[in-house]
Formats: sequence, structure tokens, C-alpha cells
Amino acid sequence: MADTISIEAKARQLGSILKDDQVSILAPDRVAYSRDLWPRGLIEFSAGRPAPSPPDVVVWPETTQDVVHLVEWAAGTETPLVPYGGGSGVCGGAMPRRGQVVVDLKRMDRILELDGPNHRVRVQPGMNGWTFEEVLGRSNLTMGHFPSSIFCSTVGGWLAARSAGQASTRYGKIEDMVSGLEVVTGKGEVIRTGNPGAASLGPDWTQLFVGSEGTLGIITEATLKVLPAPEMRVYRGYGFDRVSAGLEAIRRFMQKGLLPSVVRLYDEFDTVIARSGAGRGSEADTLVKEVMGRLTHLTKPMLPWVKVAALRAALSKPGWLNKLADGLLPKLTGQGCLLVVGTEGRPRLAQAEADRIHEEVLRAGGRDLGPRPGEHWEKHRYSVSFKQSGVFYSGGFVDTMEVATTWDGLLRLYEAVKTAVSPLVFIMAHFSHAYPEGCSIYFTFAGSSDDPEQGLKLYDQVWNTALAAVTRAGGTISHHHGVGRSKQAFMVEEHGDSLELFRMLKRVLDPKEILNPGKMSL
Amino acid sequence: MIGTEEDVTQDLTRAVGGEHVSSRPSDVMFYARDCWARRHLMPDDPPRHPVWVVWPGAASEVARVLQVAGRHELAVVPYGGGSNLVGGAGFGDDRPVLVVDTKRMSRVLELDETSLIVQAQAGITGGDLDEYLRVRGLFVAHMPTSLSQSTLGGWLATRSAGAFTSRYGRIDRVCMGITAALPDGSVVRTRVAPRRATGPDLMHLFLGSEGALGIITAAHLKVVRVSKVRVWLAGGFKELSQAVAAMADIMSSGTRPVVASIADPVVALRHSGQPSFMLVCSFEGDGELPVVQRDEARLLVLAHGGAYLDPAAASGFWTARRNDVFGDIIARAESRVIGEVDIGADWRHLAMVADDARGRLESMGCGVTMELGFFGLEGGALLCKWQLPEISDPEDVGLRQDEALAIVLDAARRGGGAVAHHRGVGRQRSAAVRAQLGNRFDLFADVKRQLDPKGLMNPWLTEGA
Ligand SMILES: Cc1cc2nc3c(=O)[nH]c(=O)nc-3n(C[C@H](O)[C@H](O)[C@H](O)COP(=O)(O)OP(=O)(O)OC[C@H]3O[C@@H](n4cnc5c(N)ncnc54)[C@H](O)[C@@H]3O)c2cc1C
Ligand SMILES: Cc1cc2nc3c(=O)[nH]c(=O)nc-3n(C[C@H](O)[C@H](O)[C@H](O)COP(=O)(O)OP(=O)(O)OC[C@H]3O[C@@H](n4cnc5c(N)ncnc54)[C@H](O)[C@@H]3O)c2cc1C
Repeated sequence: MADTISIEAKARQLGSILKDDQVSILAPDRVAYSRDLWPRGLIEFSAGRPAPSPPDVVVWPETTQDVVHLVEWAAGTETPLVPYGGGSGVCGGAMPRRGQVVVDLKRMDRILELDGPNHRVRVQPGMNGWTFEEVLGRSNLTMGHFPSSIFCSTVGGWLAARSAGQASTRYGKIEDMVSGLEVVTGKGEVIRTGNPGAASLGPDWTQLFVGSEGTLGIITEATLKVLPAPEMRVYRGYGFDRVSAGLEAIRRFMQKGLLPSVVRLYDEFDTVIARSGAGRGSEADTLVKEVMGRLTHLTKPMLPWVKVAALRAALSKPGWLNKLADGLLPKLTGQGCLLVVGTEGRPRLAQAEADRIHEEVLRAGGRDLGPRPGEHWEKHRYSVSFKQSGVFYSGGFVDTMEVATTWDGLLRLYEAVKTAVSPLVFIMAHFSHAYPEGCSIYFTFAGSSDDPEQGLKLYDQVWNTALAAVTRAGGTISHHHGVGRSKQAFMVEEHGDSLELFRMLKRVLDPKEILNPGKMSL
Repeated sequence: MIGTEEDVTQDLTRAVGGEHVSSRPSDVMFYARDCWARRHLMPDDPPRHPVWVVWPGAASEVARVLQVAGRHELAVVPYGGGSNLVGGAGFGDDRPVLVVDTKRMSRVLELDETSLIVQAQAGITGGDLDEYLRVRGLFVAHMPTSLSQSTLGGWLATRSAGAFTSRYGRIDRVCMGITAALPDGSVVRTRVAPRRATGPDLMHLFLGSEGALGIITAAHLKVVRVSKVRVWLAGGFKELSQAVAAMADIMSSGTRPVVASIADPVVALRHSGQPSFMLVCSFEGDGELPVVQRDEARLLVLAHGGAYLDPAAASGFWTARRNDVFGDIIARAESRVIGEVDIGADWRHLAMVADDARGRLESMGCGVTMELGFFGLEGGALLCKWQLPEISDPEDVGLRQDEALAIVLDAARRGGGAVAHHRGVGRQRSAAVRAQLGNRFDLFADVKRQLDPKGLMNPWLTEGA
């Protein structure tokens, strides 16, 4: 039915529900909203391909009632809606298809209530991440949620995709910070979940809506926990000979109940190179050799994580690499793996916690590298992620895969993925969201090919290979980026029988399948 | 019901073995009750009781039992320890009732000491699970007062809270995944990962569902290493509101107390010698950190006008509270005049709700004690206990108990709080909770219709919805 109404007719109908400036069918808008930051789309984009499937209409609701009216209209006309926050998602979750209507929530961006005594804030979903922290900071508060995409993502997108910030080890992921939601379901019903010590009958609906990526409801408000802004931060760096030793150190201090804000362990890039070099003469090998040839004189003393950045740079503009390396070389200390740990909070607590962690790390064989690696990390915490475009322009691609599992299988998962994809692309990893029960692994892979067609093929092959390896090794296919379109083929492996429960929820909450269809394997 | 009682008995026997099915009067009478005190004040003539009790030994047997129940359209009541205080597992239905006691499913299935995760069957009692772990230097970060009388499945089904909740969260934060038998006779398992971003956390469908959606047969729980150091903090406050404000600051300070409570002056007096509201916290770990945490928390106590009390008062309170359990149960079962309920409120309203409830109960002539605990970042629970003045007419006692309960639930409502915090809903307060949940209750009923189209499981919970 959606297809039988013309774009103009849709716009007219929507114009009678919303104000004129809340509806657009202008080409620039439709093109702008045809993609999110799924790197596959960026490969196409850099190859100059037109937008694959621009939405018919883009709308900007301003109130919950607007959203209700939109959903009612969508149900009546059977037109799918695609909720859209910052569009920073990397899995195609906010990507529309032909005939669909994009619902951008960024105009719903107000703080509704900042309730300091109860440590919570009620906020609309379109609130920008960085603005949000700035406003909270004025009251000496923080959410503690700092995704690398903080400048370009929204509260609603975080909740919809179960986002994790850089300090998640202390503050939790977004699902740990949310205590209530207002959601408009596919039936146009407004559900308010949670309340302090909520009456306890029935499911915790908050935990069922969080992570549903717009498929069960459109989030129109959230109640989030806030904490006093830390008065002090302590950073320390440690060196390890092997990843396994670094992981063991993390496991030990996490299981002692210690709660660092930042935990980042970077793997030995050199091992990966060695592995790829021993490969089958594939293009990736050639690329590796070529790039490594240029890098040799620099990489020897470099810390692995610097190499990640350096490699990306090498794939695009070597000049860039030189700049990076110049700035960093003096700080580089040697081979092996770097572990950065940060603690924060009230000064005495932050210091005491750092000291306890220090003892545990040394006991586990870590070498003290002092405060500088951590301070350096803090200074550049948001920069690396945004400097990918050069890679794409140079015909290559970079993508990241964040997986997780419990400690008993972590190293196995890490090895399995590396082994599976290293014949195809450069791959490296860091471990950055730790729990007493396990940890996430954040893989970065970079590939290159002569033409976009092959690039896309390679890209798909890498993802299929990697995700298959993850599920075989018992890991989860996503720790915090979500599923969207890119990982949906693996939802059955991910959830087994329990996927049917998700589908059951879909039937209950969105019987007409108008909310973000074609995603998450629903 | 479809078929005769004999048919059903035969089918159940095939499902779990004859020695695990019973219709003996002693069994069916026993399973007609749980720890809901009000039930004992109700006339029971003719006596209402289930027709069958079964004790399945594994998920597959539970699934077979549910197939039998479906075939014959029975009402099914899952039963763990029967320790709930709200009439959740006691039965009552027009249809013949089948009680499924989970306690034969009492094994620890797997302990992963590397990841600190245990998987156990749902019928294991808290006491057995705790013992299994303690000898290995571990414990489940969940310690309801009813530890040894309640089961893992019961905790999950009621989303229970315990003495360590302020640090580790309620059971839904301790649980990492579940296995459940569904009313259609299938078995479903949610997958375990530290965290994931692949859709809703599906185990939450069953947590807090009080047996209405299926029977939880096993679960993965986080476990914690027993710490070497535990230090106590006790603070005395003239006003409850001061103690609450201090606790709110402690909860957001990063000091991470494990035990955290605020006791009434009457109770505090016994331990501290002071008739003031007593804030109690423990800090645990090893090395210096717990001491630093305690010292930081102490500053907050002082900042809110509290007096620093001997820490022995805090540990004394904790020990007494733990040892009180058995006495408590007996007292509750025998007494008709004692009542108790758990409600929730945010920091701003906790003291107000407590004062409101206390004032109105006292004007009814009740003796009242309160304990605040089970804190989160936004607030916590209020356990309100009352003792009615002696009344001789048993029917009158029942009415007065209802009146007292209504007062406390109303106080919660007036303070924007929850009429049921962590002890389940059952029959005791299903009407109040329904009203509070609004369309969320209808959603719950929708989900139930999907998973349990024949309405087998604890059908009264969603009746009329
Ligand atoms: C450079 C870079 C760095 C990144 N770093 C991180 C990181 O550190 N941690 C992390 O977790 N992620 C990271 N991401 C991924 C991305 O930022 C997150 O997934 C983020 O949560 C998406 O938010 P958004 O507002 O951009 O959502 P969008 O991309 O607009 O949408 C994401 C999904 O949520 C749905 N959605 C959006 N708003 C709503 C709503 N109100 N109601 C219902 N559904 C909605 C959309 O339909 C879509 O399915 C990074 C991305 C980039 C490009
Ligand atoms: C002295 C005393 C102290 C208490 N202290 C606390 C406390 O500190 N914190 C607290 O939270 N509660 C407390 N309670 C209440 C009670 O112990 C909890 O509600 C407990 O979780 C019930 O567990 P159970 O195994 O006894 O469940 P039951 O009472 O047998 O059942 C409770 C409900 O869950 C359902 N159910 C049971 N097992 C399953 C299963 N496997 N699958 C699906 N549904 C199931 C039943 O049908 C019923 O609706 C206390 C009770 C007493 C008597």
C-alpha cells in the first residue's frame, strides 16, 4: 500500500498532521537521510554511487503527540517509519528503503527535568551527546557516557542500539544507566516504563525496549541516571609481553570488585602482520607488505594502538602518518601490549582505587609505564574515529567489530576471529569494556582493493567470515554497535530459539510491521 | 478440564514417573498455601487445594508436564520455596490446579570459576546454593532474608531483592540468562554474554512474571569472591529525612556499600543504645580501599548532621537481622496481628512516605517499625511492619489488616512511589499494582496471550485483562 501513494501525496497527508517545516521531500534531504555511517555505504559513496534508496519523505516531530500521529498515519497507510537520531550508527540500522519515511528525532532535544537529589534526568531522544554532557557539567553532574561518536550521536540512538561509552567499565552501558522510557509503539500507544523501585509485576519493559533499534517502538523520552562529576582522574599505563597476560590482569582486578573508568588493552599488531604475511599471496598480503615496507622504520618502536591509527593513515595519506608518528614517537616505549587504566571520582577514592589496581597489575606481570600513555589517550580520545574518510577515498575501507564473551572463552574468541579474517584484511584489536564476567573485543580491520565492486565483495566476505567465527566461538556478535541490517543474518546463531521471543514482542507491539522493518532479522 | 482426573494422573505419571506425582491429602493441603499471612485469616470451607503436585527433575520433564496441562486445560501453579508473602504460589482457581514444585531440580549445573558465573537449576534453595559456593570462597551476590526458604526460580519470578542489592542490584542484575519451559511445552534458553547489543534482553520477559508466562528451569548467575575485609559504618540521625539524604549521597559517592540500611529508632536502640535513626553500611574488598570508602561515607554522614556511632552497632544490627529469620517466620505464621509490606519511593519522597504511613498506622492504634533498604541510585524500598492492637474477632482482624495494608500502599502512591517493591504482587496487591502499571499491565496480558493462549499458568494473575 505504501507504494501506491505517491511521494507528493504522502507529503500532503503528513503536512496535514505536522507543520510545513516538519516535512520535506526535497532531494538534498532525501539523499542526506538515505544512509547512516555503515561503512559499506561509505564504500559505495566514495565510489560515487547514488544513494541506494532515499526515503520518500523526511519528517521532524517535535512532541510525543507528533510521533503518535505519525505512527497512526503510518499504520493507516501501512507506510514504514525509520527512526533516525544522529545517523552515526554503523550497521545500517537507520537506513531507509524506498517508500519509507524517515522520522528524525533531533528536534526533540530538550532536558525536561534535571532532578539532582534523585540523581536522574528526563531528556528527549534527540538530545545530542556532547551538548548533553555540557549541560549536565554545568550542574557538576555527568552521565559517564562517552562514546567516540559523542559529537554526532543522540540519546535515542544510544538507547536504541545499546551503546557503550569509553568509561563503561565504571558507569555501565546505556542500558545500565536508563531507568525509564517513554515509547510510542507501532499501535500508537504511549508506554511509560520504569519508576523508582517500579512496581514489580511483569517484565522490565525498559530492558525490552532498549536495544530494539526502533523495531518495537519510537523512544520519545528517557529517564537516565546522573552522578556527581568526578573531581579527579588518575591514569596509568602498563606494558605486557602478551595479550593474554594483560587480559589476566584485567580479569583479576575486575573480579576484586574494583571499578576503573577506563580500561584499554591493545594487542600486539606485530603478531597479526606476521600471520598475514604467512598467508596465501592474496591482495591483502601484497598490501600488507607494501604498507609495512613504508612503515618499517617507524613501526619497530611503536605501540600497537598507534599503529592502528598509523595504518589507517598509511592506507590514505602517508603524510598524515608522518605527522602522527612525529608527535608520538618520543612517547613510545617498546614492544608488547599497552594497557591503559583510569580511575575517577572523589580524590581519595580515585587514588585508592588506582593504587589497588596498580598492585594487582604488577602482580600479574605488568610493567609500570607511568601516567603518560593514559593522559595521551585522554587527549585524543575522540580524534581517531573521525579520521577514517581518507581511507575510503583512497579506495580502502576500515570497519570495526565489537564482540564480547565471558572470560573463559575470551582468548579463544580473539584468536578465532584473527585467524579467520587475517588472510583478507589487516586486523587488530583492543579490549575496552571490562566486566567481572568477561570483556569486549574491539576489532579494527582495514582492507583495500582496486575497484569498488571488489571492495564491496571483500567487505562482505570479511564480515561473513568474522561473524561466523564469532558465533562459532560462542561470542556475541555485537557488544554495542547493534545489529541493524549488517549483522541480521546472524541473529539466529546469536539467539537460538529465543529469537522467537523477540518476534513475539514484535507481533505484540508492532503488528502492522511499520516500525523499521527489514532490520534485526524480524 | 478435558478428560478425567485419572487420565491426568496417568499422563503426569508418564511425564515424570509415578513417584513424582501426588494427590495425597497431606501433599495437596500443604501446597494450598504459601507464606501469605492473610490467607490464614480467610475462611476455607470447603478447603481449596490443588488436585495434583508434581516434582519434575529437569527442564524436559517440566516441558512434558506443561504439555499434559495444555492437553487437559488445567491451571498450573509453579511452586518454589513457597516463601512469598503475597499469595503468589498458594492456589485458587475454578479449574483443577496442578502444582509444579521445582525443588527436585536442585543441582548446580556448572561453575565457571574463571568468569565467576554459576548455572543452577531453578529449584535450588538459596541456602544450598550459598553453601555450594561458600566452600569455594564464592557467594551469590543475592541475599534475601528468606535465603534458605526460597529458591532461585522464586527469586527470578518475583524479581527479588536482598541485603546486598545496594551494591549488586536486584536478582535481575545478578542473573545473566535463563532457561524456561513455555506453556506450549517447548524449552527456550537465553544466551549468556557480559553484555550484548543484539536486541532486547529477552530474559527480562520472564523475570518478574510470577509464573504467568512459563516455568524457569535454570539460570546463570554472577558470583562474587568472598572479600577479605569488611568494615562497618553506623551513623545516628534525629530525623529520618537526614538519614535518607546522607544515604542518597553515599549511594552516588562511589563508595559502593554492600549492606546499606536505615533502621528505626526502636531497633537502633537495641544496638547503639541511642534512640535515633541509624544508617548502616558495610564496605568490602581487600587492602585499604574499604577503609577509604568507609571514611568517605563517614564524611557524608557528618555533613548531613549525623553522629558517628560505634561500628559495632552496625555489625550487631546485621547479625541480628540475619539470625532473626526463623523467629520471624514462625511469628508471622502464628500471629494474626502482625503485618508487613514493601513499597518503593525515590530519595525525595522516602522519608515523607514513611512518615505518612507511620502517622496513619499509629492513629489506627498500630505499633509500627520501618526499615529502609535495597537502595539504588534513585531511591529505595521501605519495609513497613505493623502490629495491630489485640482484637478477638478473627474476621475483624482480617478487615483491619486490609485497612492497614491499604494505608501503606496509599502512602506509596501519594509519594509517587511503587506499591510493590520486591516481594512480588500475588493476590495480596494485584489490584493496586494493576492500577499503577496502567497500560503496561495490558501489555503483560498481551504477552501472556501470545505465550500462553490457553491461559494455563497462574491464570488469576491476569484475569479480566
Ligand atoms: C566515529 C564513530 C564512533 C563511534 N563510537 C561509538 C562508541 O564509542 N560507542 C558506541 O556505542 N557506538 C559508537 N558508534 C556507533 C553509533 O554512534 C552508536 O550506535 C549510536 O548509539 C547511534 O546513535 P545515533 O543517534 O547516531 O543513532 P542512529 O544512527 O540515527 O540510529 C541508530 C538506530 O537507532 C534507531 N533509533 C534512533 N533514534 C531512535 C529513537 N528515538 N527511538 C527508536 N529508535 C531510534 C535507528 O532507527 C537505528 O536503528 C560510533 C560511530 C561512529 C561513526
Ligand atoms: C522471612 C521471610 C523473609 C523474606 N525476605 C525477603 C527479602 O529479603 N527479599 C525478597 O525479595 N523477598 C523476601 N521474602 C519473600 C520471598 O522469600 C521471595 O518472594 C522469594 O523470591 C520467593 O521465592 P520462593 O522460591 O519461595 O517462591 P514461591 O513463593 O514458591 O513463588 C513465588 C512466585 O513465583 C512463582 N514461581 C516460583 N518458582 C518459579 C519458577 N521456577 N518459574 C516460574 N515461576 C515461579 C510462583 O508461582 C509464585 O507466583 C521473604 C519471605 C519470608 C518468609
